Amino acid sequence: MTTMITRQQMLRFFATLVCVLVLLISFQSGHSQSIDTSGWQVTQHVLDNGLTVIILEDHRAPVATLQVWYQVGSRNERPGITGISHLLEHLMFRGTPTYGKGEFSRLIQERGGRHNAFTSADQTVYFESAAVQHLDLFLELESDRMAHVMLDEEGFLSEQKIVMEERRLRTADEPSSDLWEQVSAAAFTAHPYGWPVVGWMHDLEAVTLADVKAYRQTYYAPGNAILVIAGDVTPDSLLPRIHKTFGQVPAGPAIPQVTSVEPPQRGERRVFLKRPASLPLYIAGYHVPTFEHDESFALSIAATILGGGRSARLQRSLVEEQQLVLSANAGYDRTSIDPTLFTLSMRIAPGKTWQDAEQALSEEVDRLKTTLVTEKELERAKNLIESRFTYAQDSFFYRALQLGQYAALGDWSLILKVIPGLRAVTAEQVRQVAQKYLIDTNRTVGILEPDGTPLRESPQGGPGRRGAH
Amino acid sequence: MTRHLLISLMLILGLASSLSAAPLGTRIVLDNDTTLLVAERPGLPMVVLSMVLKTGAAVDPQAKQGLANLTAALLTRGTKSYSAQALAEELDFLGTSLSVDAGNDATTISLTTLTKNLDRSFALLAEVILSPSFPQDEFERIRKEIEGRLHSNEEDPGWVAGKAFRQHLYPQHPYGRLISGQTETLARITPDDIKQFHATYYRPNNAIIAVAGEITQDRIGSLLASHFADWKAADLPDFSWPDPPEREAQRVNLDKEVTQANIMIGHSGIARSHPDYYAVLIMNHILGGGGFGSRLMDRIREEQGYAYSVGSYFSARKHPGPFTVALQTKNESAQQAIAETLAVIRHFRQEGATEEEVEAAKAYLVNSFPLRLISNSDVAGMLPVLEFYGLGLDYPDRYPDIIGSVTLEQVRAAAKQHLHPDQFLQVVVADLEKAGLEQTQTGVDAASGNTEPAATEEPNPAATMTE
Repeated sequence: MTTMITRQQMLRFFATLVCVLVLLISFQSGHSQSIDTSGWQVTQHVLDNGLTVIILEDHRAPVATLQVWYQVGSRNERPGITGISHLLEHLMFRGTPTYGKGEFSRLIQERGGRHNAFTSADQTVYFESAAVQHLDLFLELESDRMAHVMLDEEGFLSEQKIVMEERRLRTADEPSSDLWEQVSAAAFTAHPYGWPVVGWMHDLEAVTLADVKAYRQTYYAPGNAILVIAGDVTPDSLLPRIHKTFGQVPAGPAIPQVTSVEPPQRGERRVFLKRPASLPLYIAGYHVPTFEHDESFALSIAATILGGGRSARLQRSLVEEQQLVLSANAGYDRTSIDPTLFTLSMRIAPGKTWQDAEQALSEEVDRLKTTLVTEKELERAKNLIESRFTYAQDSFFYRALQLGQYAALGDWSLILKVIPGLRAVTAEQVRQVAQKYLIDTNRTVGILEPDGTPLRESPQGGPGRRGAH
Repeated sequence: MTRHLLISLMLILGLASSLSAAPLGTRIVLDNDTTLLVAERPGLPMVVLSMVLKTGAAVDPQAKQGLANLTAALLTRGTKSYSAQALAEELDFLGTSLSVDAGNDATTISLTTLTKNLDRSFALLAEVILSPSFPQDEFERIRKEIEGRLHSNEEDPGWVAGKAFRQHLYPQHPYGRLISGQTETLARITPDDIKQFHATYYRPNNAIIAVAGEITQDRIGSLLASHFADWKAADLPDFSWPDPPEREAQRVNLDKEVTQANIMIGHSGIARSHPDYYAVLIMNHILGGGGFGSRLMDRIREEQGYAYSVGSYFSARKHPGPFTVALQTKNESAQQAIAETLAVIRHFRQEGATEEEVEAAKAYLVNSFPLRLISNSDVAGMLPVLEFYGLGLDYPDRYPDIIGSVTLEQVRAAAKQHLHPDQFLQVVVADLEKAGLEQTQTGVDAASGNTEPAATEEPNPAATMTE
């Protein structure tokens, strides 16, 4: 458990979560804000110590999910300590003076609860789910470790090894992750999105306990966190309990802001990766704006038209008609804090070349720039996104995740703009964003050319070695 | 009794009364012998349907492995009234998701639709089940795509290890095969085979249909009546399962240019119907099924830092599926990690679980069970499993008592009875030189006498019938 989510995984993760609560809105003035909807109710509150609290009432089942969103991820790191956000996430499970090592998991598990955490470029998120009567325990455990986690040498050395194994598992021996890492590194020259969430291996080896302690001191404070609770709860009964737990955590120092800005790209960049793999992989990443920009909705529609659903253009053209690739995807995460990449990726089919696939891909991208999408196709993309949003509401956990994601952008209610924003996109706007952003000079291309056989030659026909060892 | 034990017991009793309620749904058997399970769950404007055919890749002829899977894949690739592309466009336009997955024991068709599009989505489902056209060009293309994925998977050391593990564990047995088939067997499959397979097994008397969401029993009844009226029951061919092979200890080392050794250890386990199932469930939870706090996780990850993840799993299917311990560690520590893992298992088997461990495992299993039945897709997924294994729709209500009645002695006996370190198959995919290991042969041919290499694949969660 405890995991890290790379940027492209985040894209896929949230691809199903796009969108909104279609809601009746009634704003209250003042510090606390409540939104009543048909079957939904969201309350926001800010504690004196700066902690933002968001409560979603959902009484369909007597359960609750709690998530703590620390607004720190690999984006806040610097060269030399890359991966420290994720390493700290691991160490947050090593115990406190009140709840020693192993107690945290044990207390949750014997109540049938689930817990875990993930780290992305922008955030570190801890979460628990269980029957609603156990919420007090989660409040106690999460507020306790926010203030009192014990970071010692023994735990540090152990988690350091575990995280290195995680990197080997997810990146070193995973060709596609390896290529994504290379593309990000080439696309971002000045911005921290250039390094991987899990960190570079040598940084993981060199980082010290003192680094981790300082990092926690800097970023793990109530004012840098958002508490999201979704479930069979009412704010009236919950808020006093939150005051009693999280409310007691002292406010921390001001949080240093990330000031890095990626300069405009002026010319295509290409990176080649040669390593053992079965098939070539191809990724093109284009610099694009995020949610704060109105164009983000048209970019989402463009990504869906190219790569979303069963009838997506890349699927039809490249996979089915030309049979150049085994799979083709489009990715765009509009909830990224800083400008991100719009990505097109392909796994090349056996016997085909990445050059031919690239040519076919370019033709599809060009078509988006030259020919307006039909109203029917536009409607299909919008329906697809909106239906997936409704399906995601089936899960308390995903509802909380959506709220946390938009709260991290500044205000959870931004989520209310998403479906109207997507519904308003015109065919002309889709063409415009394609013309503006999906251009060669703005892209970084990564190509994995397999080098080496998947499985080395072995003696055939001999008897297997029998016996353990 | 310790404080923890008391808390655990209180927790079991407390949650059982608060979350359990009426049976999960209603059950009726239709005139055409389809079993229909309905959970009326208003609240969200959506419906999830899960149709399970009680036939999977196990019935594939040895020479035509991959037949069930290829049939499933082609179901949505063209029907009497829709081309593959027209169907894809219509589904996307409705926002309807429709998928077909073949597993070993069963095939699952999943439909998720907005309530407002239920009629049209249901019509498409009927079209796909009753009138697939299996066009020649789609047949060729999908077959090639499956072959491509097989090739692609070879780069994944975990997949390679899993394939070798099951291949060596189940020679001459359906569970040892690759659900998707392999290049040679796929080449022998013809469109007529596909049509025949569909005509034989896609029958109402072979089907369980479960729905959950904003729907009533009357509504689903009338939809079935109007769209599936022509679906007729037919006799199904007999299929006799071979017993899982007796086995002795074996080590398979495969050389690959990787940074981590992918290690799988185990033997054939138990069927879902085994009387020890619940004792084994608890026993394995303590050993390595329970994540943090389990014996393997504590020792291999938390204390030794050998692996990011380590776990054990009994895949209890219609017939005895594998017991598997899996971990990954850097090549250089492969041998130590294996030795530690074996030591943990031997010690656990010998000394047995503690009372505290057993109570904690029982508390987790009982208290977490209701959390697995929160969403519509949870419920639509669980209903056919309960039917498939004959557990009954009141199973969620009975579950606390079933788990609660398992004793410490039964858990300890289950470890002795169902863990056999002296019979372990150990598969290691690693950079063998760095791991200090010697290569063993890769094919199963010589070892098992198979006429052609068998294979297996990673379990597909959507197609694996577990509750």
